[in-house]
Amino acid sequence: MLRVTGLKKQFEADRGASVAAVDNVSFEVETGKLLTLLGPSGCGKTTTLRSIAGLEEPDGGEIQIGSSVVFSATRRFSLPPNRRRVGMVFQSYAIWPHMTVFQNVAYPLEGSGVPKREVRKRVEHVLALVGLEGFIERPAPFLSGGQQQRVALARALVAEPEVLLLDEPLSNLDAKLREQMRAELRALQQRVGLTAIYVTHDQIEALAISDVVAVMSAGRLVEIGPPHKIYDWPKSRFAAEFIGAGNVVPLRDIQSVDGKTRGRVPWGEIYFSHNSQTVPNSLVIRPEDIQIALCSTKDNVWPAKVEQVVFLGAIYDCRLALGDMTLRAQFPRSVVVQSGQLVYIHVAERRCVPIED
Amino acid sequence: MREELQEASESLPVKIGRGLTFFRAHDFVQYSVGGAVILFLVYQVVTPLVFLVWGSLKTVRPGAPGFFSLNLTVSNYVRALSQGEFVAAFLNSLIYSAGAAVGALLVAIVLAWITERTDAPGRSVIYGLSIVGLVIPGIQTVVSWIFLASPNIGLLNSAARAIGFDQPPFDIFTLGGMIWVSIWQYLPLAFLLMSAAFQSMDPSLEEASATSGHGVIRTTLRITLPLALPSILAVLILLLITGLEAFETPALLGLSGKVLVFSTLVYLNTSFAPSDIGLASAYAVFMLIISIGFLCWYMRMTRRERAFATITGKGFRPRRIRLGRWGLPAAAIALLILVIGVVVPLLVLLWASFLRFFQPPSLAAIQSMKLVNYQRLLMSDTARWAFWNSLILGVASATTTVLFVSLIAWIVARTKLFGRKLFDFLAFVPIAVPGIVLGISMIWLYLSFPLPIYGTLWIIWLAYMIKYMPGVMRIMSAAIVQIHPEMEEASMLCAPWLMTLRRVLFPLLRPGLVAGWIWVMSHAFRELNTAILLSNQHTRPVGVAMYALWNDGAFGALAAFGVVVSLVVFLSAVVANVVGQRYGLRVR
Repeated sequence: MLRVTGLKKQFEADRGASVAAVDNVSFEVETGKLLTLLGPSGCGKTTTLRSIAGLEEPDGGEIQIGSSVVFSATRRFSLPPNRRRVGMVFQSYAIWPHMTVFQNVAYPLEGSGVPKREVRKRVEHVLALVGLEGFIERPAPFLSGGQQQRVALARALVAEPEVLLLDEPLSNLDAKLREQMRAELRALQQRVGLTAIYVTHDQIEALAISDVVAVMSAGRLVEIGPPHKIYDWPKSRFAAEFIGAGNVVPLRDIQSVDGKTRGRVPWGEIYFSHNSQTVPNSLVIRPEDIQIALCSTKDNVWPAKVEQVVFLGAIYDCRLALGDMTLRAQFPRSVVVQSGQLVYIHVAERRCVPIED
Repeated sequence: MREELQEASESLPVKIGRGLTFFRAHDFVQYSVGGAVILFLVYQVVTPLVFLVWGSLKTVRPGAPGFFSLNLTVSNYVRALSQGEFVAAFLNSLIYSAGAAVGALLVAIVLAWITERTDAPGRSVIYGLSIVGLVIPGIQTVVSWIFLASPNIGLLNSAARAIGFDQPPFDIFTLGGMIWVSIWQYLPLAFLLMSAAFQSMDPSLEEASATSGHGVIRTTLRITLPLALPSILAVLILLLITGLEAFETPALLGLSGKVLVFSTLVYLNTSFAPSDIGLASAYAVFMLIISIGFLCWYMRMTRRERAFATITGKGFRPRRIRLGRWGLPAAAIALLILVIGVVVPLLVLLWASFLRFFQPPSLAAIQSMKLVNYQRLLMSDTARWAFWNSLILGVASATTTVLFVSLIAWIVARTKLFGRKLFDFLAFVPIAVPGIVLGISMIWLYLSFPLPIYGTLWIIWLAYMIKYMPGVMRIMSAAIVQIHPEMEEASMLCAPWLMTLRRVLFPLLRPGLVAGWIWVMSHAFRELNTAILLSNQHTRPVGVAMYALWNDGAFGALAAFGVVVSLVVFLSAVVANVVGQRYGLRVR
């Protein structure tokens, strides 16, 4: 279990002014779950991770790992990194080039009183876990990028940490290997029952690997929830636009009509599902939820002009003009569209997600 | 268990402040080591200079009663300025250092450009000959040129007489002669710095000019030179500082030819009766002021340099210019320069070392070649002691300086400690302290300070730790920047600070540590400027011993001495390299 409460960290910018890198961030990860901190570069996700590891000293808040508080600003208490029982995989892997694989992985056990034979056994066990049997005596410079990544993971796991921290661990691998490692990492984390925090700017990676996704922007935690919920029901413009490529359109004149909710968007009227008491002012429409309609008489069907078509293999990525608005839409390959074509489009009522922008 | 640790940590003083983070239990070792390092740095750099300035304002000698009284006077300065020697020394110092710096720089630019940026044949030979001076004591180069161009015994002058000159055409005992000799003394330093500047130039900047349709000449004039200009100026200023502090050349050539510079003035007033240490200090302060002026200029220059893309620290492989049929002539010119400036003087010295009395090469002279100078060197107690002293000083100052400075460089590069930029500056300041000024500052300090190390090797060791700090600081900072911080952080997650230093940082720093060690060892082993004021006949290192041989007129012994010193320095560099490679980082 890991709990972060009210975490704050300021960095000094020019001339004594300070910038909040992390601004009042709180979240909790249950034991055995993987939480991803997702956001663009500079959003504070890595600073948050490094604060948990003890590599940065936050200015405020509290961090609890397992049953013990490792950092508390109010009590002015901070446990050093080597007493926090965390394992970390760095973005650069940080495999020490002057050591062998064994020496790298055994390093966290040094001076901990574990007998030599036991050290050997545990290193072998953890190397088997990451699929590196037979590499134990290899000097570190003789490893490929993927192998270094596995060594870094083994080193982070060997001391059986309470929490595993992963700082964009896959960003230095090529696309094929990245997908493979992502799957392996997730399988390993679930098999061993590790509690893990994973930092990435890659939304696909975040959706694929996480139990919980925490979206960060400008030092703040914008949204937190399971991947499918974050994707299907974003609550903010930032999350809608950063994950997938949601169209966010202004919404006004909301009324109840025959038990349905209807509002007005720039190109016409729209029915959407709304069951809370809030008054939304924008709608999120996912590009892949826009369909070509066969008849023009249903609700939520409007004429549109195809302005641009980009072929992406599995799909056509299109820009559609509806009045003054431009919407992004993605049609399956089987739908033939051409630039300049006039079409009717349809969006299912429950796929129009209201947000307060 | 963990609760206990929390209790223990909490009982220690904790504070949050600007630039300071939490004071934590595990930081105790780190903070005490770091604090000690910084205190030592401040002590080493600031105290000698404070004592120098203080002493220059006193008429009583250090250690005498009343030395610490506030009874200050500018009489030393008044006397210094009223001496006729002052203006002459001032002008001579400037002309000498400017001439030597510009000359060495021009030669270095030509040689470095040919070796780094062209495909001329024989580049490795040119490179080797350009830096061979690194292992040769400065005093030895001077003696070589005396053998070549002294009006009485110089080989060049005998040759000129043989072809009909009445008067010897060359006189090395002049300002021009001093400049000429120093050009070759500073060549290795200038060459290495210029090579580095040429190496680190981003080739894509020149390629962009080429794709804009401009040829080699316009690209060189409009892109390459303007980009290299800040580095060239920075190197020039460093050479000016080196020229200002030079001692052996002005002492050997200038004192005979009555050309005085500041460093020889300081020396004369300290070491010869009637010695006037107050006056010497006033001269030293003038020297220091000029030198610090150069340093400020240098720092402004290098700060602006960062705006240029030349030095980016990336390992570029600059494109070489194809010289085609100009390749051979270019290589020939470079080799000719090096033969005149480096090879001939070396051969003359080797020649002289086998002769009892120096004479021009002839059949009779060849027959009289003996090992008598080397034999006498082996037998002489003074020489053995000098080597022993130099070895101790070289090894001790190299080892301690490298370890000490790598900690400072680490603090500057890796911590957020308040004032770390000041420490960076402090570690660089000694570059502007001329060797002889450092010597006199140490005398003031340890004559008035109750630490009885005056007249021992300890004081020279402390002085060398100051003197070689700036060079090592540059090497270590560059080495630390190369290491990704995550390398250390990965260790901090599971190990205390000292273990991180021992197991991760120092092993990864090893190439830098070895380079720094060799650099200090090869300089300290044959150092003269500082040791000449700080040593006595028991603590005399080889540089000073060679200077004594010069004063005794024992030229043959001096030549043999120089040959052996060069070999020892060369061998120690090789050994350090081999050791460093065996235990160092093995890279694919």
